[in-house]
Amino acid sequence: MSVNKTDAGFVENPAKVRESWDNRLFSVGVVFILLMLGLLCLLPFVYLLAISLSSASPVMRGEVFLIPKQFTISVYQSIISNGSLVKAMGRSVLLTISYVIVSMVMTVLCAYPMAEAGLKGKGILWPYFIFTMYFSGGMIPSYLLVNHLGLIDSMLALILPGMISTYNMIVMRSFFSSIPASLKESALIDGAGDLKILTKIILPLSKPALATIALFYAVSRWNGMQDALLYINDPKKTVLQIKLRQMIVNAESVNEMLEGITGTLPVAQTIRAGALIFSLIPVLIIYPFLQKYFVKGVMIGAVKG
Amino acid sequence: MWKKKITGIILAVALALSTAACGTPADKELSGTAAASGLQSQGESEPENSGDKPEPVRLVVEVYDRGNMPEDYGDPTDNKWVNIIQEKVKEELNIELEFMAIPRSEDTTKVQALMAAHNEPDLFYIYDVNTFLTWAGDGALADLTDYMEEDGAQVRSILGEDILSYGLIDGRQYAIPARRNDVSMLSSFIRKDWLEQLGIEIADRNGNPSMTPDELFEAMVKIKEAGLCEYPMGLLNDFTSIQPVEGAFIDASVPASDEGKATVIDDFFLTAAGDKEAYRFLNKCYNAGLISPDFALYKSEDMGERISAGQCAFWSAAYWTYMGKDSNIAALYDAEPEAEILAMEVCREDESPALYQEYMPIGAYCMISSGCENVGAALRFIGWLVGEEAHTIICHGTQGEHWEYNEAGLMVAIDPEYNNKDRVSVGDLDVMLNNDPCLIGEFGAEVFRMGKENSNDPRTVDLTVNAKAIGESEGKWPKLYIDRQLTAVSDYAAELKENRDNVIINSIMADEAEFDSIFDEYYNVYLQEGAKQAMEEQLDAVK
Repeated sequence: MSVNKTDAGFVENPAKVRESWDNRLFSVGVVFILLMLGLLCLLPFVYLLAISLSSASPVMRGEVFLIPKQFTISVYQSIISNGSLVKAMGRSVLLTISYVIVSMVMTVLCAYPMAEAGLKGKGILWPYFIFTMYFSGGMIPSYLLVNHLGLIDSMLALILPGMISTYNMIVMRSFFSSIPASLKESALIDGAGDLKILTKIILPLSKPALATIALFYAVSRWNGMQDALLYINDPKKTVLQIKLRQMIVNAESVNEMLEGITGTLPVAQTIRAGALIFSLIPVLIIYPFLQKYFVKGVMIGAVKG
Repeated sequence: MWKKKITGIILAVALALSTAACGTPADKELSGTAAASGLQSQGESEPENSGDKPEPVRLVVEVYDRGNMPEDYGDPTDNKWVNIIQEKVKEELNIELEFMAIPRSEDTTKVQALMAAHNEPDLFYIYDVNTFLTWAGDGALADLTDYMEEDGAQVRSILGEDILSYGLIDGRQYAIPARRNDVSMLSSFIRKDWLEQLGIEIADRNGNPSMTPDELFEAMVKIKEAGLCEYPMGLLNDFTSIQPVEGAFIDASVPASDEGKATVIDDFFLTAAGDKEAYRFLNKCYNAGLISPDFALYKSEDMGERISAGQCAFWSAAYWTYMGKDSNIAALYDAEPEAEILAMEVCREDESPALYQEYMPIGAYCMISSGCENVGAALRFIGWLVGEEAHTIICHGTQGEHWEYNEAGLMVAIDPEYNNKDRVSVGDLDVMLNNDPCLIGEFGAEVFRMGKENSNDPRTVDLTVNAKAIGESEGKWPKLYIDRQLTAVSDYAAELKENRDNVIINSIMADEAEFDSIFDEYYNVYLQEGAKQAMEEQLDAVK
């Protein structure tokens, strides 16, 4: 609550000072709690970073928590020199960018007409879309479909099946519905077609929503592993998340001896931590640029007014 | 306006046509992508003319992808060793091998998905017996019985009927199990330097250093009282940690017969006669402050950290755990040069050997797909995999480059470091060799030691050798093999695990005076929600 001050700086209404102190205390409390929650979220990353920058011996003895011991960057040197991991990251980046572009185009093209009040057949189409949000064919039918489409071992298998998320489409549609109809009407009067209205008027106004949905798609694709596991057989096309999963599972030495195999050494904790931090780099680079829109758009689709 | 209508009609037709592909019946067809996507093997073809060699038979074979191959080494389906094996098998058996990489971490899921699409490899492997039984029951596996006489002759002569019997279901052969050349599984370990410091002796019984439970308890109390360690007894909520202690308490009738072994569910002895006393002992240790209150949260890595940090005086685990180069025990020895770990066992009160499990004498199940068109060729290939040539290539490499004969006539590595770099995950190309066959026989112990000298920290070689010996010593018994799918264990899997955890954790952490009531309370729930059904099903199966 703002406090009215005179030019001389005196407070006009003392009662508002008492409210102000209450408010400040409340604000301090809220900030403190949020700070603690934020630190709690940050803690695992700091821990991983400390592990990845420490030598193996103090890590194995459990002596490393938030501060590296026997500082070394050898883990990152070996990760960067490990061509397969870097290439897997490159493939994941390319895949994520392609997926976001395709998904955004398809989601917008689906959401925009669904936001039109007078769309014929909406009563049939809408439940059809919603149904897919709750029910899916499952792993085996999905695999059969992708296999029949000849997409096995193709990056398109990781792009096409999931290119429209019904939830994201609903959120986008809600945002489009909130744009005043008068804007579209005036454009129509001026002779603009639907596509022109979409690209010249609607999309520029929808930047927060677009950035938010793009981020949702990007994060889901970046972290996605199950479909890559099923549809990609060629080791040369493995994505980063599969590589990371393999590194973590390989650390289970019980597998090694259960199988009595030779030539496989468990992956050290430091290398696993380094690989996980390495995999965060693209997300950490992109997020600051989208944060502005993400903060604005995080409540899109919520009930308004 | 009409442009819009036409555009709309075209888009609608395109949408409708795009769904038509979903209606195409699933049939076997070649995929247009690379070989690794699952080429189906071709039928045995007729010779082009009477003088020419027949067309080679194609087989697609699973190989685990562990994601651990360096960029310049190749990948699991295309590297130096794959090429060597492909050349040899083509030359000797007229079989063209294609390897299909399957991520090790998700092999069951992946193979199941491939099966559903009829894209599975002709040969694939699994370690879990229940999965093998399930797939056999679903008709996914070829019946090899009629092929064993001719095409399976080499397999039969090398593996023998005992090993092959593990792949039988109702008398029919559905898998060729690998022979496990090292059946040792579990051992206990203790800080010998602390025992010596406190003047505690550890007796040699049945050929192994051993302590009775009472002796162990007294030793741990003294170690704690001396301030050497706050919680000297390392314990995990895992069968590898608990079984070596349970082995000192379970009734001798349990391993003595199939009916006794059938009372064991999922490697936990909870339902075996006498096991309650093991938990009474652990409860006593907990109440004496010997076991950490956080033991239920520990994973194997946490235990390793405690061992490295000198916070553990006694633990039990798979015998190879925490060993090796750059391992937890090596880290302990680096930090505390005077530390010494001794492999030992917790023997029974009457000083007879502990009764806990070792591995079954089999490794992976090698299965041939029911869709394979060349079952005979696949069996002949398996015969090659268990033969001497494969053993040499997979376990040792090339003579003169990777190994040579020593004076005793044993194959020894020339340069282990070079071998490690040049032979990454070579064992995955022949899962039928579960460890080096040289481990069996007169020189087995020496071969094992040589292997550990190459792979382990030198300070842990003796420890590993001794721990292996304990894990396969008198009293250790293999798990029961039941040749049918046990539905109760899979139906109640979640309840069994949850209730078992409740029994273990709550009974160990209970007050001593309340141990019986708490144990019985949780144990009864465990029995009612799946354990009794699972046990009865197992008992029925062995009758």
